[in-house]
Amino acid sequence: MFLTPTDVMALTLTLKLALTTAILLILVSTPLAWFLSRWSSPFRPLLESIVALPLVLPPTVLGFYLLVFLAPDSVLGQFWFSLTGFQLAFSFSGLVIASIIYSLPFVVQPLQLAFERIDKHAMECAQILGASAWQRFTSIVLPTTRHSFLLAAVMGFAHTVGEFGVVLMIGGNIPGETQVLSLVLYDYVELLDYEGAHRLAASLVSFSIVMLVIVYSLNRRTISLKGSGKQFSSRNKELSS
Amino acid sequence: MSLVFSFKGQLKHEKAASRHFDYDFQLTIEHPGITAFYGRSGEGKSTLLRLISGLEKSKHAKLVFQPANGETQIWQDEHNFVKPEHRNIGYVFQEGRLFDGLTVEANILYGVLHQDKKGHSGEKNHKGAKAQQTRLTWKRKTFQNLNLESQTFVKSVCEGLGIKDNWLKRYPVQLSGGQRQRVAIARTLASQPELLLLDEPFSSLDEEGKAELLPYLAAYVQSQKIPCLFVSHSRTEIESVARHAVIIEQGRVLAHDTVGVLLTRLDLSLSHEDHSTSLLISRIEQHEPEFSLSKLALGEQHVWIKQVDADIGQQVSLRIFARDIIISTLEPVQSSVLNHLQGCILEIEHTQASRVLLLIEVEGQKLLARVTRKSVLNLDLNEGRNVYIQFKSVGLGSVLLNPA
Repeated sequence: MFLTPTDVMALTLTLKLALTTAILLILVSTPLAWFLSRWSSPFRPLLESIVALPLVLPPTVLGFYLLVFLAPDSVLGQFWFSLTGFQLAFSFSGLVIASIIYSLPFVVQPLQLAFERIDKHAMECAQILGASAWQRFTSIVLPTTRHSFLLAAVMGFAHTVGEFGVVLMIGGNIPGETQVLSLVLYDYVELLDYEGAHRLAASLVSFSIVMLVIVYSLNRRTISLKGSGKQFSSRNKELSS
Repeated sequence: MSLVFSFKGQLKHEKAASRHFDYDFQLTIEHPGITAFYGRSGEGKSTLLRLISGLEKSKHAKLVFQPANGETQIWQDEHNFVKPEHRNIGYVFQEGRLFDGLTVEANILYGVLHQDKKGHSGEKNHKGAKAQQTRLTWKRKTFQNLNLESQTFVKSVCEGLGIKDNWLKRYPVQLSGGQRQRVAIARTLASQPELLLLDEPFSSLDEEGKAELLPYLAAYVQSQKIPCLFVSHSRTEIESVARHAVIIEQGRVLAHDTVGVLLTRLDLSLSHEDHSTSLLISRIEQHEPEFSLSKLALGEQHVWIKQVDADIGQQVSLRIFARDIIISTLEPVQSSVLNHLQGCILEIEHTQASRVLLLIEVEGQKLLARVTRKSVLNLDLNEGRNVYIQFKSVGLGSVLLNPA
């Protein structure tokens, strides 16, 4: 297993992209998921559909539209250029924006589900006891949903590592800037360098397995935690009765 | 202190749930102590309590509260709304509603440590500032984080509610339903609210637990000198702790008076129920430890009851079941029944085919007695006649310090 400097550069870039995306996704998705979980309006399914759109669209469609919206002559592209002096398309920043949109449902949905399950009564109690909205969030919501947060972050991270179509459309395959692992692998295959492709593919497979094991064991832990609680209370009832 | 509350109309989301009546509720409370909200379920008691707490919001509600030593606060009217977290209230729900992720100790501390957020008035501001200091060590969430004064108070509440030390480190799932409810009550009382709202807090407790907690609750409210609204449909609970009661039917006030008066009003269904009772307010005159009895004065007359733990001169209310009373027209001379009182029949109500309800005046107070119709004929009982009243068992209501 010897990775070439190109591979290593792509690997660091991929991890950097995935980490940035995951962190930003949590920041964006938390209020969005909270809003969705509390919003009762006939328009809610519409907003939920828009959030879920990246799940069903071919990544190339998403990439195409993003390319159009982030292009140097677009409103957003020009605004970004006047702000930073860089263009969005074919840049790391553009890639981050694309990844956030692409992975949004994977982060919003578990969070929304977790928020919907929060005991409304406990929240009312906390409010009566004098806790402000933010204090209720940190003292009641965060502790009970921390596994969902971890799960959502891991999902966002892993899904970003695995993206290909979107980065191909919008990234432009620039080494060190937008050339992520999946693109390097594609290049290897195009150049018929099967040895390089094997090397990279194998490391991606092992990486994915590690990620998935983490996700599933987190899932199990969330479930088993609740299960053990129930067991405990029933045992306790037996004792007290 | 005073609490003025009115609500007309309906709540938006309740309309959808097809509430079949409109609220037209007006209430003014100007005395600390427990006021019971009594009525069948579905008459809107809990909704009214939620409106007072601010968990429900309505432009059609008006709510002004003035704590014992504080400024008047408009909590709700057409233009104002104070969020529940800024009203200094306590609310105990029917079902415990503990925070499952926190230990029992942290649950109890939750309100104490968030106290400074509330609109405290007067001297309590000082306490709020102290609570803020303890926030720094909130992470450890133990009673040791509190200053000595708060610590003593919280511990006394826990003790009064029968919370054992070994529960403190446990999580709510590890407690039984009744234990959880005790913790929920402790959490509310420990936060020292200026207004206490209780929504059937004892429904998950067994009779033994109720009998233990009710006197503590009454004593707490009395020592804190706060108003307390107590929703219940258990007349035993109301008779033993409440001073005043509001009878609610279809979102309206049917009657609002002291419990003793309401119990003996023949136009209300309370007096016609199977367990109808009357409360007689009396004063402790002396204790007779030799027989384990206490002698109570009721005007010029006397009653002996099982010795009570109260000082001489204190006023207590006696609960007497209407069905336990024996009426005679001659003074009973040789009888194992210790107590007999003399009174005058005010009213005879023929409610059932076999039995009648007598309203008797005893030393200016009213007493209900249920006897058979046959006895009424045999004894030739009629309104204005003097009778002797015997009863074997007497329940003790709340110990009143300064009765109305």
